[in-house]
Amino acid sequence: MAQFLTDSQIRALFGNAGDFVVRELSCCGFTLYAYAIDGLTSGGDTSEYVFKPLAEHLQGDSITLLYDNALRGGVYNSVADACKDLNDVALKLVNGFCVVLFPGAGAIAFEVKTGDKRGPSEPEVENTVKGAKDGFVETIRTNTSLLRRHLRTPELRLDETRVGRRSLTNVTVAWIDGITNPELVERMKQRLDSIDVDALLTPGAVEEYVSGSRATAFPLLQYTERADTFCLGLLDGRVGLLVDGIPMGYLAPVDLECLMESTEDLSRDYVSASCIRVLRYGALLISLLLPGFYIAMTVFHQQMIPLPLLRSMIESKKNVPFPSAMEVLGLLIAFELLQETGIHLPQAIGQSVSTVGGIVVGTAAVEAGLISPAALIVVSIAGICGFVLPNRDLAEAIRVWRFGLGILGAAAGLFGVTLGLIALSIHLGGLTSLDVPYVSPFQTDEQNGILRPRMREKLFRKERMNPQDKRRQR
Amino acid sequence: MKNWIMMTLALMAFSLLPSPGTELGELRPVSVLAVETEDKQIRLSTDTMDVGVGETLDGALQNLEETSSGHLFLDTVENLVLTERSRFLLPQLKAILRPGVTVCIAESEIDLETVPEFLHTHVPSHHLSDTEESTPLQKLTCSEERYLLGK
Repeated sequence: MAQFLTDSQIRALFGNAGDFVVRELSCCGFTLYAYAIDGLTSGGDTSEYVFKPLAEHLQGDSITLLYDNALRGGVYNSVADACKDLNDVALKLVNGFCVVLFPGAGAIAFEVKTGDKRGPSEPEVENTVKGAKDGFVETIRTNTSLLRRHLRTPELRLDETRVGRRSLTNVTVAWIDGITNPELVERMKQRLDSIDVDALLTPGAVEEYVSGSRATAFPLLQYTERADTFCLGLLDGRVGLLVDGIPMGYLAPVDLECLMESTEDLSRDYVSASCIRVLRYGALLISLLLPGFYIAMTVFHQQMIPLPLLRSMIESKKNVPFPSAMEVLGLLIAFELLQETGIHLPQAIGQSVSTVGGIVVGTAAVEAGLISPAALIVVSIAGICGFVLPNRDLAEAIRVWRFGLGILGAAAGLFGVTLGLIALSIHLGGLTSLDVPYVSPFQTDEQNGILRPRMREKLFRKERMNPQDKRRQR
Repeated sequence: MKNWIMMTLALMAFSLLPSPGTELGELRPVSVLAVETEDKQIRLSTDTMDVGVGETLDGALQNLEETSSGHLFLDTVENLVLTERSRFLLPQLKAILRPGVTVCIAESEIDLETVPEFLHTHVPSHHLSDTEESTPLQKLTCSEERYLLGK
């Protein structure tokens, strides 16, 4: 209980940490102790909104009276929370509060967070021409404020919890009361409660622990760095997840249709958006199948290639020392390496390396007769089509599977590729996200998501999310 | 453990598959195939300058494969040039070549180095699929190194 809190207990919490600041204060003849973490609190605000009112305005004959007066507005501060126990004190301190101990009476936490944080900026990956420009940042409170600005309904629920024994990461489950199926919310909360790890610091940790770490390359949570996309997901009846320190929001359940949608689709007219969506699905298939089909057809089924094309391919392949399968699989690996290089190097250098690697080395390799132009074109087209996919996690899963299909194509031709596709279909068919089947858009009678419907025709929310309020508009 | 067993079984299954794959660069695509008979021998000549001789069509094809410097690819044949005496091989050739191959009759000796270019421009009207032994075929003649595809 609060009355048992002592100065020595609180000091012992952080040991001799350099950023743990303790100050003794004298107030009406009593000694008070103020604690704060330097860097998380603002020195100016602490002086102005904690120390000054304590010194100048707080009055009381006993320590208990001082404590009560401070809690009830004697100290001019927007937030004054009584600390229940030592854990509460620790949590308040690491969240940017200044805790004042009234020995024998209790401790009060005053909010004096520092203003040093990144403000909402333009999303880097999911940027649109016409859409909103406010993206999520690392601070969870800024992110929840973005949600409130996009969805001003009081029915927006933000349930906060902490995950990670050491990281004590603040996690917020977001949903709209009256729309989202309460079972989904409950399931998400249960999953968060069941996570017992040291830290939840990286996106990978969030995705694996929350989705249950299934053995799949396909994403079971949808991430977005856009507040408007996140809000649209909530309006569809999905559950959102915001994690302190990660500049993106997560949405669940997720299915293939959700992953193939882009926010840009809603910035265009429905005709253009539908055409782009068809192209996007085409790109998905090309990215997945082209290398495997190329290997299968050039090694096993040459008779399926149109004659003029076959002649040209044979001609270009004559002086190449490597087999077609090795060429394509090698180029796919080189393509992955180039992408990795681009990610790990500073942006300016990364772009140069990608350009040099992709164009100069590729062209030189063709001219030197090390690879055939057809193989280079096939891998380039598959790679470019992969970039068309709006969700990076989905694109990465496709890259893994296309490599597998390439190997199967090299081993058994179209038979192998077909076998791989059957395995992929079975795998996708078995995936669920919060119990919603991954391929449900293509197995129900609902309007499927390949074309973008007209806004005024979208009368109902997605049935598979089982929303409480099914009607979107009248 | 279960996954490793599955992967090992899958690898074993794949290693059991026949591997008839042919590298694209090793293919010798044939555009024109000439078939003639001489002294009870069937002679097959291609525009890749490969020749196969045998008493039967299968024998001649085998000989053609064996003597070729690469993997002879007959799926690319566009023109079949027969002689009046080799017309009887049409039913057997139908089983080997694509149905879209065009067919004509050579009335004189042809040069397989130059005839593909001529037949590429002057495409015979009959296709292998709709040609019978008795079908009147277009005649290909050569005089003074000039070709003529008659009716």
